[in-house]
Amino acid sequence: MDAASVWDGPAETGFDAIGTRNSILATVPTSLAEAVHIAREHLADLDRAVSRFRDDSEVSRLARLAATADAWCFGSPLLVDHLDAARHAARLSEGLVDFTVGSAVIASGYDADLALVRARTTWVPSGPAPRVPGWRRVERAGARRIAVPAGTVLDFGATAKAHAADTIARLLASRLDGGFLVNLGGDIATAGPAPEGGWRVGVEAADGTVRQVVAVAGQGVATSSTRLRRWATRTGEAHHIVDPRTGRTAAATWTQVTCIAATALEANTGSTAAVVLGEDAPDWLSARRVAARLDRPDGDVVFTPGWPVPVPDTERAPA
Amino acid sequence: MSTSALTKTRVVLSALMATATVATTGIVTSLALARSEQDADAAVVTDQAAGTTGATADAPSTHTASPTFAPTPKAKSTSGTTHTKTKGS
Repeated sequence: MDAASVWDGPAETGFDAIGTRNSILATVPTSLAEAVHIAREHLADLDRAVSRFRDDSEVSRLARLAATADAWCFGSPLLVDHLDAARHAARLSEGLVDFTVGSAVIASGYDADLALVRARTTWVPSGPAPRVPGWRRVERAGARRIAVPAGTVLDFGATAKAHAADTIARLLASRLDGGFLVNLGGDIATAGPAPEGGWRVGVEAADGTVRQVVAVAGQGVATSSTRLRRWATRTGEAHHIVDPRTGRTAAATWTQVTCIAATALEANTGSTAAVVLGEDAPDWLSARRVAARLDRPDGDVVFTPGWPVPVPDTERAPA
Repeated sequence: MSTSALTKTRVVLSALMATATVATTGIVTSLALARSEQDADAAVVTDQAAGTTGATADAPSTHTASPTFAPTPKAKSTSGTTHTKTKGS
């Protein structure tokens, strides 16, 4: 029996970039190498534009300019594109997903790559939570001019991976043969023809078990967790999702929320907004017809209308 | 000065003014082009293409009515081997 008869599913390559594990799946195996090359190039450009963790990124340079006064810059086309995506998420979520939370995220301790943050056990949040400037105060004039009020640190953590996944998937399907699934750290976009029966996506819990498998074709999938990007502070554990209304880490009402939407960007907008909303999330998502699975710390699960009902023999993968 | 001489003087002056106008137009065009090229070059945050300002950005950006989530085909639940996994980020 040759290898092809053992696994005739899509071809896959995984790689590390933008601080996370990523993978590209292709229905036509010969397209995969070029697809990964395109994705890597796009993500390298993205890192230079929006990373909060490198001093030479556009976001970091704008943050330095805005440290003490209102500031402006001409952004690269990629930065402007991600700003527009983040504004879309902010509008969709009525401000619950706000890209001006950077200072608040830093004040909560997430001021460096997560491995460094976790290695530090002495972080003490100081003083009141910083005021979140609010996404409406960021202005874009003309094609590239971006103006921010003093103290703003742009943070595209809630949208950048998802929007990049959408962008790369569309790019690959337009340039190469076959269909593609782009998975950037769990934010998933698909484009082009899907495998028979759809792309089978496991909803993975923080302990590595797969709680459910859903088949998608053309949709985006994203999960927001309060369990994975966590770190210790002297006042308790913190995680990376900040409630822009308070400037504080959102309550961990849900261990994770998974959404299926037209794009990965909209799926992640729904899942991030749900974490921020807490108990109000199921009603909020249902009213907006966002299919979601919300997992509670005690193991209970809430589904919104449109979420596929789990089949009984769902795979349980090892950690 | 004779009428003929006056006419010649006017012609010379007109020619000089026309030349000056063309030159000025050229300079303005060059400046506009330079500005345009400067803007185009300013694709990233650099000291030459960024700054601080005393003017606040208090005025909200113009925005349209709230958009809605795009309609999505319903996904299916399935079982068996996964192609990939979504996890918290």
